[in-house]
Amino acid sequence: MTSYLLISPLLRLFQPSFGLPPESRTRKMVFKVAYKSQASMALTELSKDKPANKQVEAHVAQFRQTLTSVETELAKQINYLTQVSTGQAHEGSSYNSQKTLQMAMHRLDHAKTRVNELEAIKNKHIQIMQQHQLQKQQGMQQQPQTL
Amino acid sequence: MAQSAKQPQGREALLKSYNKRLKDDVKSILDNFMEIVKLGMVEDETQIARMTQVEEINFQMQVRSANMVRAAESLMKLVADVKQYLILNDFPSVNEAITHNSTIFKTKSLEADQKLMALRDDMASDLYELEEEFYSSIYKEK
Repeated sequence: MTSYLLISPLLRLFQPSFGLPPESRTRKMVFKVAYKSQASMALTELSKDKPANKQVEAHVAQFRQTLTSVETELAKQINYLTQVSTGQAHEGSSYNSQKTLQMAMHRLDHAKTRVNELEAIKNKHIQIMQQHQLQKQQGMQQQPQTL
Repeated sequence: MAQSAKQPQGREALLKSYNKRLKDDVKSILDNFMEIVKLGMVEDETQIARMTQVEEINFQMQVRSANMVRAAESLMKLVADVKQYLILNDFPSVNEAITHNSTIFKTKSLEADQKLMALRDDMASDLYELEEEFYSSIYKEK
């Protein structure tokens, strides 16, 4: 006998949006999702004309295992929070060292500006000297012509 | 003092509510899924007409799948809430992040100062030579 289950709406339900990406080392929330989710695979198998019962049971067991692991991980995090949290706000900051770095960068910028000014002065003097040399050369060239 | 006594109670109640939400959502997902799988069982002898039974199964499946989606969304909301609570109240990791940032900032400011000192030393040595050159030339009289 064919089953009267309508699988397609359910298959849409268990798409990859069901899961979340893992978090950092200390705050690890793990939602393990396969490309084709285990629930949809179980129901797909069940909807066939001749479903393989073992396959269905395997998928259902996998789904239960995944759900249990999700519950365990979340419970671990909540348990960790009960031990660690105080209810008070954390008033620490890294502003001190941040300000020190900002001042060091400011010093570097200042030094850079002064060095650039020095280079501009050097270039200006080089230009003046080149002009003098050109004028001297032109003067020396004119003198032999008059002679 | 009354506020500080209230805060642990508020914190404990909040964490208990997280635990309850977690258990309820996971139970809802699992129960509804198992019921959906049980709907696949075909009964030959029924007291109601076949089409009525089909409609009933269809409706039940839609309701249970909607329940599963609701529970999953609620679970994801719970994860977001727990993440937020962790960011605000997980003092060891916040301390670690602050220490790490402070170390990086201090290292960078030390590097910047070292480079500045090296530049100063180079310029001082060049300036020494330039001064010697200048003061022994005709231009110092101008």
